Amino acid sequence: MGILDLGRYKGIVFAITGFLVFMAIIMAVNHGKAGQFSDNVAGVRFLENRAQQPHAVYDAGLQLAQRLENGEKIDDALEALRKATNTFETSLSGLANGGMISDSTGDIVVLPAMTTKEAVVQLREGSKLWDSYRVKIDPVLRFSGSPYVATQPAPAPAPAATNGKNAAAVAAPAPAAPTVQLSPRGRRLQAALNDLNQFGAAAHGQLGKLLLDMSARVEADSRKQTDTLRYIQIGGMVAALLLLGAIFLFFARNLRKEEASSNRQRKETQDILRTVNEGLFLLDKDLKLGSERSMALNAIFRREDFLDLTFDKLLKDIVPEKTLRTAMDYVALLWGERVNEKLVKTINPLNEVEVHFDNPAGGFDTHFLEFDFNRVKSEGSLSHLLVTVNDVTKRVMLSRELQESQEKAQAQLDLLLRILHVEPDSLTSFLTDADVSLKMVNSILKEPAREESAFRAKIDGIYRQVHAVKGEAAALGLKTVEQRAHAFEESLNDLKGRPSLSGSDFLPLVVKLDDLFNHLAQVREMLSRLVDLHHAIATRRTAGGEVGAEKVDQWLAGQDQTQITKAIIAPPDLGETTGAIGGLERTLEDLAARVASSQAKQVNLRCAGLDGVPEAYRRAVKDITIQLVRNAVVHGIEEPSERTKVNKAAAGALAVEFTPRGTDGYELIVQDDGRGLQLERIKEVAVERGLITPAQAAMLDPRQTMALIFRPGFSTADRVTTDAGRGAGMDLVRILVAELGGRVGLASAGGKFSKFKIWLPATQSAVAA
Amino acid sequence: MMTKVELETFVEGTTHYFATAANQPASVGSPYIVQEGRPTVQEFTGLISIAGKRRGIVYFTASRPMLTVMLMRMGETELTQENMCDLVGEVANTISGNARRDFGKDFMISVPTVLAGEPEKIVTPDNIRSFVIPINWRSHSAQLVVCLE
Repeated sequence: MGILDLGRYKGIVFAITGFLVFMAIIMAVNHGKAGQFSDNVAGVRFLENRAQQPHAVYDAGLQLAQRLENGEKIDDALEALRKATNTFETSLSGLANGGMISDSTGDIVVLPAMTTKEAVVQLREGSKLWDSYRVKIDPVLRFSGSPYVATQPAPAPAPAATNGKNAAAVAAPAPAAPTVQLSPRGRRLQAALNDLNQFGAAAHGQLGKLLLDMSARVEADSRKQTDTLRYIQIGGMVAALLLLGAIFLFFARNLRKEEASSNRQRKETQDILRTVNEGLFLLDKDLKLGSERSMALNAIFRREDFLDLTFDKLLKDIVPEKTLRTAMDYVALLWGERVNEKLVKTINPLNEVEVHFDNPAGGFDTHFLEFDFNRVKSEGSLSHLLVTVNDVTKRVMLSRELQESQEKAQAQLDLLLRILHVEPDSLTSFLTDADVSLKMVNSILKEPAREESAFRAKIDGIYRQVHAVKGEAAALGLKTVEQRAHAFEESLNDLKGRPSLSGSDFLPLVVKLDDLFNHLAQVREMLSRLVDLHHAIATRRTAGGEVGAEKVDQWLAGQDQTQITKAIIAPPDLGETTGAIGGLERTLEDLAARVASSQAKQVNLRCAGLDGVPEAYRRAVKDITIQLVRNAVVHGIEEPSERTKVNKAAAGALAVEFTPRGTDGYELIVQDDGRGLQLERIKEVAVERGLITPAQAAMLDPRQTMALIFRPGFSTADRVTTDAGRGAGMDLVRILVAELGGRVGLASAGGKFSKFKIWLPATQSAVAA
Repeated sequence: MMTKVELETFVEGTTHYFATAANQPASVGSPYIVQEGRPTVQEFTGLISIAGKRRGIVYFTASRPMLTVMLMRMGETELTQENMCDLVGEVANTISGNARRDFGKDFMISVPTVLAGEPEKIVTPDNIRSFVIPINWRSHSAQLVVCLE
């Protein structure tokens, strides 16, 4: 703001300036008049003083005449006359020349009263009179030397100085002594003196009066000045009061107008702040909230009291510390003078911030707030931040729901692609079994345990369940399930290797268990959708629907599998006649094909009698056959090149047969034409894995050697994969068979075949067992 | 998905309390999952709510006999219900403190609330499995229940 840019104060500044100028003028006039007044006083005093001067001249003349008559010295009397004459003449000349006088200090003072017309006329007349008087005086003053004859004795000294009157009084009764002899010059002087004194007798009074008149005139002028001064002062004061009143009225009216306008603006602002939906407030440099804010802020922040609140305190209890710190850093950034506001706005971390309000009923109420910051500049510098807050919970929730639903749809699509190749019944059967297995795992976990032995005992039980899930998932090609189960097994192995165990060590297991439960639930949901889809298509087809429906049926029936030569093809009519075992056959085929593919081998699987497996053995037979088929492909069947070398077909033959034996129960045979059990290799591995000592190995007969493969932890695979390597599979077979009260037989001929023969008791005995 | 680290943080908070305040360490039992229905609630429960990166509740629930012994071992002679409530509240507070220390920057953790009985007041998020971790102390067993989305 420039110095003359007075804004709203322009009026008052001008008014006060005018008032002061007016007062200055009054004071100046006052001062001038007061100065004149003192000049007049000096003039009166001067004129009264000078009014005596004509009398002094006259007295001096008389005294001079008296001396002359008495024969006394006349020098001093002559000098007195000269002096009186000069003084009066100077005074009169000053007065006549513009009313100038000299005051007591010798300064020249001009008396305006002397310049009036009347005074000038009067002075002129006075001057004339004086001039005439002067004509009489001059011959006297020109006298020099002695007026007496030279023979005359020395004149008597002059009497003591007396004033003119006394001198006259003295002179009058004392006539000149007859003895005085005047020289001719003396006589001329005497004559001039007589002439002077005669003239002076009348003139001195007139001249004295003239000066007294002048004095009276000045005094009158002075009185007039005084009156004028009084009027000016009274007038000035009245005018000043009127001016003040006018200023007051003017500003009172303006003030009222401004107040009304300001009240209206304030009310409008308040109306806006009361009704606006956004939370609005100002932040100062100390990050303190301003006193004006919108009412919506109360609802947004669930508080009434914002007095002396700082921004960090506003957020502190409703956002996590990390968010708070980010927010404060960001706000600090906004205070920088050289900040590009638009650019900074693009990185606003508070444009969708999650806040949590304490719920009186317990817990938190979560909302999403959107903060927007605008820099408020005043006089070119940053004065405040205007903060706008919106509750965008609904928008965010909708957006998140949409995003979640999209992500879920994407995840489901991925999952769908992974399970599309699996025959639905096999999948249903797997999901049921897996659910049972996982619940079993949870039950095992739930059994109270305090001692280490109790914890350790849980591991094997859990292992078997998870391994079964993994095996079946692998058989079905459910890679995602298989990987999760595999990770679970890894954790179990880790626990097995630990010297001591406690509940804390089992925490990773429950986390993985939870993950498996979740994943299987997703698979189940997808399966359910697939079945729904199948039914929908089937309905359309029966109603004369489209040919494309058959293709979906084929997918659902798993008929798009081309990797394997199928010995048995399941009836395509799903969900009606296909039993769980039909599903097992396909499962085994898929498994054999997948494992063969991963091992670069070829295999033909032949299944027989699996549809005759009693319900009581269904699960066990499935788990057992899965393990044995996988083992056969991984360990038994040779690679095609190796097989052709020994005159075998490139594709290995693998047979699974389930045969009822009447009261003797059931016989399950899994046989391959592979390389058979390699007894020496089994011994080596058993020694390597610490299952037996080298000495014991040397003592083992073939039957004992073959039994080693059923020991927990035995595997001849070089590395652990999802297909083999941990040595749990054969142990699982042994345990499953033992649990059912059955027996396992094993026959093998090196380079020719391996044959697992499992005997299971009749169902009744199985149930009884 | 719940992570091992998160579970460990809550468990450590609980065992830390026993080791320091109850003058005798507690052992962690075998953890398990509750899929359907409500997880165990004993006579006294100290509960904290969590929001932010995760949302849900964590509570410590114990029986009156266990709390009685704990109070006695802590030198408390007044074995009142209030003191037992305070005790489970303190355990919840320690769990909360531990959680704040480990991942407080991402989480909002409520002030502990204490319930004497009243299992109906414990509301777990829908469709979320709860993790139950038994906390064995002397011959007693309390439970730490973690139920987070």
